[in-house]
Amino acid sequence: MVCARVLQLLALACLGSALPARVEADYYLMVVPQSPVLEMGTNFTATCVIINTSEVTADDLYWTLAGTTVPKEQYTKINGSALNVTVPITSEKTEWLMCKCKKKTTLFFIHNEGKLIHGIDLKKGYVPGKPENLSCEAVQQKQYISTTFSCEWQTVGSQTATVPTSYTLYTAVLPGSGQPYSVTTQKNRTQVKLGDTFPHYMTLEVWVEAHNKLGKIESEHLKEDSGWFVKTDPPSDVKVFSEKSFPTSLLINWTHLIPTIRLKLTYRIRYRQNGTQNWTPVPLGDTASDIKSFRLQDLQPYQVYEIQVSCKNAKEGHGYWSDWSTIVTKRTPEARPTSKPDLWRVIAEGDGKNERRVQFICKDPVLANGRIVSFDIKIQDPKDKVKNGSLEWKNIPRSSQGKITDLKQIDLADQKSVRVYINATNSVGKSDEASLFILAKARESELAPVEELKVFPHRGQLWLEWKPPNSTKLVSEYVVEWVGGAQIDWQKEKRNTTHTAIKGHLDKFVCYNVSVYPIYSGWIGKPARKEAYLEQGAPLEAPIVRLHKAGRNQATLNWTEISQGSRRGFITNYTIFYTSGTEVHNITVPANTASYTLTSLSGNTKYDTWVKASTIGGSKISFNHSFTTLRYAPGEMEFIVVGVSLGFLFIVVMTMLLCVYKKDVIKENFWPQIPDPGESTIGNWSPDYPLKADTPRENGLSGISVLDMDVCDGKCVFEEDKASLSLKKGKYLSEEHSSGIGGSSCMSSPRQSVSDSDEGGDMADTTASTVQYSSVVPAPPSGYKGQTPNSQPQQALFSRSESTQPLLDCEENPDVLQQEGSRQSQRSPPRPPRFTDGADPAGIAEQQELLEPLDFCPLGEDSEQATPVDGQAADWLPAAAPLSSYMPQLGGYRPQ
Amino acid sequence: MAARRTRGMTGGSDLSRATVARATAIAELLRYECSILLELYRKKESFTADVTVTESRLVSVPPPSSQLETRDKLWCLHSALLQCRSFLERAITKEEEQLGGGKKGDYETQRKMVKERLSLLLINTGELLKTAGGVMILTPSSEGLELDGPTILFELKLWVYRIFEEVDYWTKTAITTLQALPSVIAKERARTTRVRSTRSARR
Repeated sequence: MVCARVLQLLALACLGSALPARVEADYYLMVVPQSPVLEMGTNFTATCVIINTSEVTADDLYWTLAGTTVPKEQYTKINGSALNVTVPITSEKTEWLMCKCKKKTTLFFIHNEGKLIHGIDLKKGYVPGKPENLSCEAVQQKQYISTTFSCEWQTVGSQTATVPTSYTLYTAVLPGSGQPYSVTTQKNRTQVKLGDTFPHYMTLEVWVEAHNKLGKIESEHLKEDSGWFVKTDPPSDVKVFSEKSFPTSLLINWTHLIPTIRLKLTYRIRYRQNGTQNWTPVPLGDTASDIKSFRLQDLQPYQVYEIQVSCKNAKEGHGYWSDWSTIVTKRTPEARPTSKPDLWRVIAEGDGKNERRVQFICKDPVLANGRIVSFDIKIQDPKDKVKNGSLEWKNIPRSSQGKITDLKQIDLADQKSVRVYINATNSVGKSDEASLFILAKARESELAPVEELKVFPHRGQLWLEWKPPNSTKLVSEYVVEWVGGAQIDWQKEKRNTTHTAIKGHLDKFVCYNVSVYPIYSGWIGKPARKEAYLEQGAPLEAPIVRLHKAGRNQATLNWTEISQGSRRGFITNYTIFYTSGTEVHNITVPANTASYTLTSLSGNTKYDTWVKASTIGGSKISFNHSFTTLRYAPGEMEFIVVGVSLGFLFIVVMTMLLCVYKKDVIKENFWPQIPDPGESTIGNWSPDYPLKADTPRENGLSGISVLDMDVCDGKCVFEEDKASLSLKKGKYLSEEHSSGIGGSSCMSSPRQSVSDSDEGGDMADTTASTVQYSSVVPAPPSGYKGQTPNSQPQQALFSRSESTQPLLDCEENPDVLQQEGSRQSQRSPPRPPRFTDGADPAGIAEQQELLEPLDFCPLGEDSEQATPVDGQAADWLPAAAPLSSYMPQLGGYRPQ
Repeated sequence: MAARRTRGMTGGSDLSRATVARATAIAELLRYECSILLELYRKKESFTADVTVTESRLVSVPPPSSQLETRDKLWCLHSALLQCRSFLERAITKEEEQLGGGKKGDYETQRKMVKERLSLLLINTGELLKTAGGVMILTPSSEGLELDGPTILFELKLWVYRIFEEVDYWTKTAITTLQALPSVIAKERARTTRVRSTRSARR
């Protein structure tokens, strides 16, 4: 520490003399050391020296790093004119370390402000790391080894842009006293030229030196024989020969440009059957010597083989293996088929009843050892075998298309069995016989199928798993058959196989019907079947969705099933989407569904719907189908109509019942009791006027006539009565009694009052002592018209009542009556103001008086009851009189 | 290939044996390359088989006799090869002067290769000589050598051809000498070791 301080002071002492004259003239501050290269993670100390002035002292100085003032804790004052600062080097960025003078107001500062600043650029970097994994190679160039020596290594550590690391590759040829070859690069690989010839048999020492401004370091030295670095080209002119007498052998020849004296080579050979992936290497021990030919043995006859050769320095552990030579293909010669042909059958329904159509098909023997040109087939009925042991063979040429040959098709009765024999022939000879039994149909089920068959895709293949049949018979082999579309193929498996992969070509997205047949010594057992896809995808087609039935809150949708060829997978489910414009709802239904009823829909709303058919490989969405729900649900309208009708009917019935059961109240309210003039004891006090002949008949019905009568009618009645009275005068004059009470307001009219009924007259006789009342009883237009033989309008009859009943209030209190009348008129607005038609006010007044009792006239039932008897009034009245509603009134008033 | 990294040197006996083997291999390679060079030169100059060179040697060193010690044999061989290189360099220079240089044909490449291979052989024979305790020859003795060469073109071509033949000859001699060396070195080393151990025991 002290030593460093001394050195620093020495440096400062030297600084004064060492500084250029220009610096002295231009600046009053100086930072040392200049342009330092700093290692990351270290501390750096710089000194700011005040030169050529005493106006500024070290206390006036301060430091900034990258524009930020360095805290004073990091300063060290050396003397009055020198100030140290120590800063940690943490950032890779190049930064300026500035020494500045605090602002002062002195004249010196103002004049020399620009000269009271000085800085240094801090370049930062890392000490280079030791390069690792150095490797070099020298490649072949024609018949020589190239003198271009290529090396690469792994760099270690970081570097910055301002302090980059360079790498120098050194290669020394040993023994030798010459300087090593060298080349420098910034990368991690380079090439160096080793003179004019490759130094065969010499030793090469190779190393890399990483160096930058902060230091240098060498990699491990690689010191090896020059042959250790050699990588030759693969052998050239590789040729393969086949010899007819050796169908399982191929001879390989090759050459190499590198002379043996320059480099001894060793070789390696690999081969494979054409179309396969895996190479078979020839053991290195067989090719270790410096050879130029090799014979491959134990090959399959009539197979195309691919062969490659590679080489390297023969010295053990030296050199790199060359690349493989280009592939050379050669077919081995033919040999007699050494395995049986692969015989199978396809059974379909025959034309005839109880008959099968059996198609025999076969594939070439696995070890065909040549090109199969034909098959010989013999079909034998086991029963005939005894009779005719040797049937003739039939020769069938091999199919020129595909690997399956259709041998023969026969129609076989269900109850018959046959045995088929075939052999295959190539240009060299015939194969052994293969045979197959076709059982009688009924016996097929005797041979149990495999159990728990599973078919599943795995790594691009369809795999099968099964358990052996639960049978006492021994399975000799299995046949795995797969049918996809119109294509059929099969493969045979050994008896102990319980899982296998289909080896034939399978298409993606095609549904295969996979069957496993146990074979019992040539007898075909019952198959187990499964459907499977090698790979499933999204359906090609989408189902077509249609509205089946729409209601108000629900709609039934139907959709079509996707055709088998377009499914491309097992449909896992259907998803029904529907929306009325805002929110999309979806419902997932199982794959076996083709119809669904959407519920909770809004009435009279347009819905868009579509169906998505999904497989595990994807899904397909159908086109939109739109429908509109009904405004009313089916039956809803009928329900409303029926309901309303029933309601109306109920009201009617209730009204009628009310009328029936409360008729007294109604009658009392609407048809108040009106004294029956017929029962009046008042005599006919106006004999000048003839009475109507049928007056007695009126009895209790007189009130009805009063209500419906208008002024005109009244007048007419008067006129009519004038005519008719003359005819009936005698009778009425003798029988009727006038009330005789001229003081009655109702009878203020000078008109003649007419008694209502004959009975009234009778009663009047019996009650002659009672007070007479007058009653205004205008006859109903219809009813009374009917009573008169002619159609002349009836005149209103005014008869003096002989009733013993006391006068109505209206008679005694016309004012009250008038008020009542007005109230009544308000209650019955439809009633026309018939009495207003009168011309003279006196008449109106009279009519007004007449109107008052009219309000209380009973109408309706009584009048209706009276109407039919109009014609027989005289005869009918005595019997009808008790029905009159006025009868109780009569009784009621009688005590009065 | 596992890289073997070392900065140390192998033992002395191994070095000797390896150096002899290496020198022999290089000498054999030099002979092969020299034969190619001669072939190329003959082809280049259209020399027929009847064109022969004189029996006399250009190199002034006698062939190493079997009677000589290994060190002397190696000294002779090394000296002869040094003179060969001198001749070869001179021949190349003369050829380039007389016939123009800068060509990059097979002949020129082979010629350069032979020269460099000869240099590598010399390094190894020098190592062997040093191992055998012989005096290193720093510069080849040019005394009495016809290094200037003829000036007549035909004679120059024959002279070059003679040089190549001389290189070929001494390469063959080197192979023979070197192939006989390992056992000799081993014996001598064994003898030297025995003598030293005897002396040590006596002391």
